[in-house]
Amino acid sequence: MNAWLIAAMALLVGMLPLGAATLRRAPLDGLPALQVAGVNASLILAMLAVGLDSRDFFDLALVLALLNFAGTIAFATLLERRD
Amino acid sequence: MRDAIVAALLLVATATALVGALGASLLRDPWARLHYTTPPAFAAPAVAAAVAVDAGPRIVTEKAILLAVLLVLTSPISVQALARATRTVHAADESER
Repeated sequence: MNAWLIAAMALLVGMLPLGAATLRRAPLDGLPALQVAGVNASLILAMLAVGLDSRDFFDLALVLALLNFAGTIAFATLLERRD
Repeated sequence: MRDAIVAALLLVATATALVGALGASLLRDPWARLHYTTPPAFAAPAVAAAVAVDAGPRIVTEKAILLAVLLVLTSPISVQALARATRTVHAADESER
């Protein structure tokens, strides 16, 4: 158990209120929580890649960061034109 | 010494990301919630610094810096999109009343 894994665990616990918010709020109101959850998940993947000494998996964090950006933009644009 | 620096940087990163997570999920006001969507992205530079201290000049460090640059550059754009959507929907709700 090193510092990387402890930090990843702390961030993982921080995902719980975000998940609750995305489940319970209206779609557009939950979108900021979804965006934060994506960024935090990418940080968790980065920390796990270093902490578990499997550094090839760092690419996952990069890919998730890009996809989360595209997803947030797409959701925001589509929810804006809801009528 | 090196481990202590890494732990301190990770503490800063985790605290920043957790503040963003709690703020974005628990606050009531939608505009206040938007404020907290950026801090997690700005935890990435601290993670990159921790990786740089831990690993030195290796490919992981470059990837970590790339991740930090990516998150810091893209998160203001997504917050802008979120804010525009929030404003449009709120204006529609106001006019319906």
